[in-house]
Amino acid sequence: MKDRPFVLLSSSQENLNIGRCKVLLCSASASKAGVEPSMTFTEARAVCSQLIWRAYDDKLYKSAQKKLAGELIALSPRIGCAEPGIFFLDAQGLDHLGGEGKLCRDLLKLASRNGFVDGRVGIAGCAFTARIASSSLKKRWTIVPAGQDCDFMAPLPISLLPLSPESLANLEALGIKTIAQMLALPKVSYEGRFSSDVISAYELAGASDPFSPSLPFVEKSFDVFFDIGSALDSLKETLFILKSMLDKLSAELLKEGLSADELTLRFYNDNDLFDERAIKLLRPSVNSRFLLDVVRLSLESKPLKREFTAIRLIVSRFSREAFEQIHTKLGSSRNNEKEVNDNSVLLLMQRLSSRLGETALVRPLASDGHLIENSGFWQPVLSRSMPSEFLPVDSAYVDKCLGTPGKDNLMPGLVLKRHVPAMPVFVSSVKGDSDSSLSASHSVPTAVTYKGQWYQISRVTMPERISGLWWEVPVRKSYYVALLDKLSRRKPSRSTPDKKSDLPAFMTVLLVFDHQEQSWYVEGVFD
Amino acid sequence: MVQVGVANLRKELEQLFPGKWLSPGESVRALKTGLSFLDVLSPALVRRHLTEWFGSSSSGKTSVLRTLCSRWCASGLNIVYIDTFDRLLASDWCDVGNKNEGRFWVLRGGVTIPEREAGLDYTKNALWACEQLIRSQAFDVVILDLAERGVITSSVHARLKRSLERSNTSLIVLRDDDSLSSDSEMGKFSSPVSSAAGRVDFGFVEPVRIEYGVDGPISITPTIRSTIARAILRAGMGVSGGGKSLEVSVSPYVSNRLFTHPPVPDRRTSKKG
Repeated sequence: MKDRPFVLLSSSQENLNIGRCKVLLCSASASKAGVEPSMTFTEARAVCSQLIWRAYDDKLYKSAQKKLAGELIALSPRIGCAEPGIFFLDAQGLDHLGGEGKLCRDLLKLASRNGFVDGRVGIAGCAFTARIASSSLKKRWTIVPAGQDCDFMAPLPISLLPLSPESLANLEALGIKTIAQMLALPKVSYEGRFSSDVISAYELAGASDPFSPSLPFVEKSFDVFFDIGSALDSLKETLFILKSMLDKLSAELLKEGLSADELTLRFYNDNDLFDERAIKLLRPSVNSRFLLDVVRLSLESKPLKREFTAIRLIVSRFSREAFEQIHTKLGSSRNNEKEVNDNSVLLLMQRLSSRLGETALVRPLASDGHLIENSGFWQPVLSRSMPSEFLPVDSAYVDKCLGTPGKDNLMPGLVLKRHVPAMPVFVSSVKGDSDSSLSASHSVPTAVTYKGQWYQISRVTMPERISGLWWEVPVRKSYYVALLDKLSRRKPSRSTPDKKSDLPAFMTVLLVFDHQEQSWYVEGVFD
Repeated sequence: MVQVGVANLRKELEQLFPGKWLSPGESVRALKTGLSFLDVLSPALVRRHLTEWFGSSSSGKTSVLRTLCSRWCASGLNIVYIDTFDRLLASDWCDVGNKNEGRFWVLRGGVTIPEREAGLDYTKNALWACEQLIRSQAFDVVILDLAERGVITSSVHARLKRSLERSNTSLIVLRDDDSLSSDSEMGKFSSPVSSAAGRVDFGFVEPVRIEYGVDGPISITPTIRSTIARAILRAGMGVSGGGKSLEVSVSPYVSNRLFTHPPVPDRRTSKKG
């Protein structure tokens, strides 16, 4: 990948066309070719055809950062991490350890050993100056003599300071182009005239950075490993073992004042990890009985495929225990946050999501779409995620057009119950009326097979023709509402012997002709 | 005079809060539907009991149920619909419970999720979920749609009944039975349910209402016939026979897909001669 143009794309939106993903970072070669961050991938490829892409994997970078920080601690006891790839170490008191030059060489050697060969080091009196010093492309390491931070930064441009584009443009328009020119004026000159980012940048330019690396803290981990010694596959025995593991973990969490947010279960068969499952909790909990209930639901909904010899149970995410009053009564307000907080509803939703999935419990939402499939969406109650095609509907306008049903009237229209998947059928039809304004190719369906038998279509609506989405998967369909009549059937022939009809007298179906596939379907029945 | 005043007040309160009234003389707590033609016959939906709604796969029962759900939500009741085989369309139900006090949720079986494992027993999951929803006491009405494939065994029936007795929920079970037809089997119990509070049968009948557009028919809506029979719950007595039929018609529907944008204002000026 060295010297090749590549970019890292944002992967925040799932199932999105790769062409629409934004560029987060680009390599030096890509930048030279004209690729810039915040471009879409399509635009970037138009500029540089040999572009290689990878998805931005935040988890991977964090774990690499953590690993390298663990190695760097050998060179300095105080260490701090900023963005991925940037570390701050305390370089004080190294005179008797070979000096700052030796520190720089050791740091680069250690980074190279871990696979990072392009590292650079900067040593200065404050963190900001050291960061600027490390960005030099001419040398692998830069040491700013003690007390000379301001002299070092004086000739540098103000674009290196953390300024908003507007503030930067304003300062440059006033003729302030270097840090020395900025520091030439007193701080009070900027106060009241510019925003707070300019004041913070002024302080950094004066080598006054409050940030300093600190002693690392021991990361807490809560995990229990149990080697059974023999193979086990019974759910009851598994739960018995898990109960004692959860009791131990709950006690440790309680001692630290923490609650579990997510559990990870790993099952091994002779050192072979064959099942790993993450169990997310809707609300942090430290109650071992509740956690066992949730784990049991997960095992029942997705049973183990093999017997196991060892289990590892990890609390993969935890948080501070919250002390707040639980709502004792189910609120009648439309605020769903309040509803979800109710204990009984929360337990119910946890059980449902563990067994049936997080998207099982949904509520209907109208969307401004022309296709039947896109004119409404099921929004999960728990995650509240919206599909990318969702467009809100002006319900006040729709109600004004349709009106509200009278006191004793049913809601207008019939409910459609879909066939999943749509049922392919055979249809016989006749040519449409030549006087009709429709094209001569329009044909009217007169009979349809349904559940293995022919039925006459006694009444059918004019087709509702919908087409679109030509840029993705083209859709061209004609929708008919047809009334199937069982009383008048086609005469039985040798190939279709007379069978007793199982259908009722009237049946209203949604008949669809897919022009792309040239085939008929019964999308569903109106009930 | 006082009786007339009380009757008028009751009528007004029933209009304002349909479904939340305990009718005098009834020993069981019933859910009013808010539709006078249904409520005047007998309360078909009893709390803490199971009511079965039978009909063929295309009989109009879900359309009637949708109106009831909308009215119950408007009066503050919480409803959940267990759609075992993912057959409902979201666009048909988005007007139910979206701007009202009560909530309307749907529990989907996951048939349409491609990552689901093959051979999953959707009916078993639906029955389990039904029991959990009843026991949570968070919903006033639970609707279980078993389509034509779901079967409730006697043991499951007993469990649901026990859960209902400890809750304040009314359970409606929707069953598709294409062996019933509207012209012959209405009103008869094909399999008597000893402990169901009621049974309602549905079917499409004539007349069929057709709305015509410029070139031909644009909507077809048959009339829905329903027969309500209610079991009298007294010790030692079985199901009381008899049912009352009624027919309701549904207004034609123009999809909101065609009306989502306000019309372009007509700024044409009159032609000057």
